[in-house]
Amino acid sequence: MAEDNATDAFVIQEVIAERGLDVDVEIVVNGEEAIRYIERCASCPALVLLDLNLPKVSGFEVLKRLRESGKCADTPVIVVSSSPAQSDRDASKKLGANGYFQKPITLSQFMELGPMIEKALADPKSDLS
Amino acid sequence: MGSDQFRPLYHLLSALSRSSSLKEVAETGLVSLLEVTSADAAALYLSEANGRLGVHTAKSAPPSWLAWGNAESPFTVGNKLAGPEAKDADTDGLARAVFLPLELDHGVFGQCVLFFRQRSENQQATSLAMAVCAHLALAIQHQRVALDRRRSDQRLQAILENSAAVIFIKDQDGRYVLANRTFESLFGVSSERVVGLTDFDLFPPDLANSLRQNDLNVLREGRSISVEETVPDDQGGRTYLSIKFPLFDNDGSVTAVCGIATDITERKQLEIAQGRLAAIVADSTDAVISKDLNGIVTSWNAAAERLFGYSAEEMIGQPIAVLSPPDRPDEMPSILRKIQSGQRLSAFRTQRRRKDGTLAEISLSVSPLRDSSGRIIGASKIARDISREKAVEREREDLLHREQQARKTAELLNSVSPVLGKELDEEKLAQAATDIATQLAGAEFGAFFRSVTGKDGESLLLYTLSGIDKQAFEDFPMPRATNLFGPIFRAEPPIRCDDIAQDPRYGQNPPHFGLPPGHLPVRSYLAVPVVTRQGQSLGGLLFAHSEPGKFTEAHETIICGIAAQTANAMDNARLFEQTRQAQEDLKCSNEELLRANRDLELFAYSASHDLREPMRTIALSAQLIEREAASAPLPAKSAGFLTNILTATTRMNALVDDLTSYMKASKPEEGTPPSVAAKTVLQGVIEVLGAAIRESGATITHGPLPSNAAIHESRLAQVFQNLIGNGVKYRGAAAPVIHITCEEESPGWYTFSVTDNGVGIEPQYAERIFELFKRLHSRERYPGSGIGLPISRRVIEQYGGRLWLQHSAPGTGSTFSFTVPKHPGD
Repeated sequence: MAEDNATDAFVIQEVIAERGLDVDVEIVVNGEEAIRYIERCASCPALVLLDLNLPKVSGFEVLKRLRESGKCADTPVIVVSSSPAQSDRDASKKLGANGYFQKPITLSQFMELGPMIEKALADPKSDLS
Repeated sequence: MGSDQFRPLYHLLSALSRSSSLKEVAETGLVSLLEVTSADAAALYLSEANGRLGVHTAKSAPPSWLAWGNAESPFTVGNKLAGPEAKDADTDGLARAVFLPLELDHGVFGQCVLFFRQRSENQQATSLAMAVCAHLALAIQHQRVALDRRRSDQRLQAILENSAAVIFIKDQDGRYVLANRTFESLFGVSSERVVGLTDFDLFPPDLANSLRQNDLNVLREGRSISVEETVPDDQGGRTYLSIKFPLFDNDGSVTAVCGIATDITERKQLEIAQGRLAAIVADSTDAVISKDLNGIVTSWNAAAERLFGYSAEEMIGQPIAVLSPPDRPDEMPSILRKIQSGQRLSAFRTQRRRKDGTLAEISLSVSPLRDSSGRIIGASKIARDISREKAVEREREDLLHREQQARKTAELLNSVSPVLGKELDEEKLAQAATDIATQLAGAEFGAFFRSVTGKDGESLLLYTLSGIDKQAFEDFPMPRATNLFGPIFRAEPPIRCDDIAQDPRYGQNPPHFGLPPGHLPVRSYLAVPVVTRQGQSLGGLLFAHSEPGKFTEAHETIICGIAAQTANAMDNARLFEQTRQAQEDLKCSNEELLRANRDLELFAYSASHDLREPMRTIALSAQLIEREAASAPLPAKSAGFLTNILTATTRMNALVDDLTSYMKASKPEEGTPPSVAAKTVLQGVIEVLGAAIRESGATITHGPLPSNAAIHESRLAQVFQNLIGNGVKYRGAAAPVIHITCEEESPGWYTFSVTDNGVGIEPQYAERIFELFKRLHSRERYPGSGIGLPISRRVIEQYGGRLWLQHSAPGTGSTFSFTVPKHPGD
């Protein structure tokens, strides 16, 4: 999970916990760290939850690098952003994101991210848009 | 001496008495002389016209003798008491000659010469010859007198016969004794027949009687009379001027009346004609004057008196030159010369001076006057008073001139107008005006002084010059408000001066009392104020010329026109400058506005994007606390604050959403609007609003809707959804009834109207409802952020249309209308 907003990171972990998924969650707080993590990791993550509005290197840039690098290019990615803009949604898909989740304002709405994560984990190629 | 000796004398006397001519007498005398003497030849010499003696008749004398006789004559004509003289000769056989004088009272008038071949002397014969000569002298004289008388009679007769006058002689009893040929031809009586007749035989009794009375007067008075007598003829009578005079007998008694009557019928008729002519001349309304070749007036009629003021008595005998006007001294002599050469002058317009010194406008015709021989002896002139005519003509010409002048001025000003009108720079404009005006005024020098207000409110006097170098002017002090200079800055009338040196206003002021030293020489001066239509004085145009009288009224008019145009153009230039300034200001504020708008958009964008994140974090955090509080309850106050945070974040989220929508609505959709069927869009909206419609029990109907509205479908849907949604939301007690109509009210534009039966809007809020985040109702009663109408209006405006509240009354409902362009393709 690349997320600089601690509250969001906490809530997303709550969502994962609420679904009872047995996963380890590694959190990076800027784009640079995200890229470095992918480069250095021994094994690729099962899923990347990517915020777009990241410090240093944007989420789009991270997504682009991930898909272009030979390593982990097939890792499923769900963009989790507060932007309601269709353009961001479209750009994400174009860069190879499997899904796009607009961060909502209530906890209950946030829980809708859970099924998307489950699907992505179950089928890395699934289209969640 | 015996009687035989005298026989030749008797014979001579007899012969002489029978002789009827001088020739005969001479022959007879010479024959007689030869008879009484023994002379071989004889000759008669008579005085001739040259006063000397010449051979008249000769007997047996050769020419040499005759010549000798002439040369040797002892006599000269006129000698008195001359006697016979003998001379010896030796010429051509001539031995001796005897010279015998022919003498009467008045002396010697001739000679008889006896020629002898022998010298012998015979005293007796000479005495006889002397006697013969005495008789001969008498006879010759007699013959000469008779001849003279005959000649005289012949002359008289010729005069009588050839005279055009009627000549006659009547005796005491009135009987004609003599009448000439003219009498004959006039009265048809031959001169032979008329003798013995009286006037009573020839003329009617009345006339004869009056003629006889005149004759009797002459006879009685014994002196001549002159009477006019009229005698009838075929043409109705002829008039004679008869001079009748008495003829006296030897004893002095009157024996006859002689009359010489001249036919004056023509002259009489001429007199009558002349009388008529004179009457015409006298009564003529034209002045008729005659003068001789020296220009002396010979006649002067009444009209001349009236026209020139001089009476006939004053003028006749005086030179006509008194009428000559002072400025035309050569005119009369030149007219006189023309007349002398036989030319005429016809309808010549000129002026003559009246007695009172004023000038009379006249039309003059002058013709030569000739005597009966055709010689020019003077001139007759007819002068017609054309003062009034002339005045009218002058007035007309003046009008024409003025009109032409005005037109010229107008044309000139029209041509100047664009030049001045297009110049918007005050300084350049002033220079152009100065140059044009100086040229049109024909001035050597022109200046335009302008009073302007400086940046700090101080008064300045600027000037532009024409016809002079600016440097030449810089040393001079600024003109001061003198009598000649001041008025133009007070918007007073123009000053035009033919010669400024003669103007009383000039040179009155210190320090120069006139032009400053070194100033251009100025005589003609023209100063015209430049005043705007509002009456504000901008300054003055001044013109100068070194010669006097250069600026006319026409110049003044033109310059006034230019001054007005200049003022106008100046006004425009100033107005233009102000407008330009205002536009610049406007541009500035426009740019500011645009910048502010951009800032606002930027703010709105950042509000809708960048604010979203922290706002969401606050909301989520508050919810997490709320969730935690379920297991570990918060103190009551804190729980209340948390609720406030949650409510505020919800509200704030809605605002950010609205702002985002509004920003989106403000951005035009990409691509040209497609042709959209409004009905389909409406049906889609009704479907979307299905739940709300069902819940409120609303009825939604519509009239005919166009199938070719030029708008993006989603946008039209947005507007419909907002307006219908409002109708459903702001409903009154009754179930909502919403009706949608559409008309093509203006070509190419559809006007949609959405009418509801809801709560309606107070008139004072009719515009407020379109402002961002303005709500008329409490959030509790009608939820929503109040962004719908502003967004809808923005959407419609993106397509060039309008959206407005057509009609509304509280409690009865509202009608919102908006326009959408018709698709051009359909």
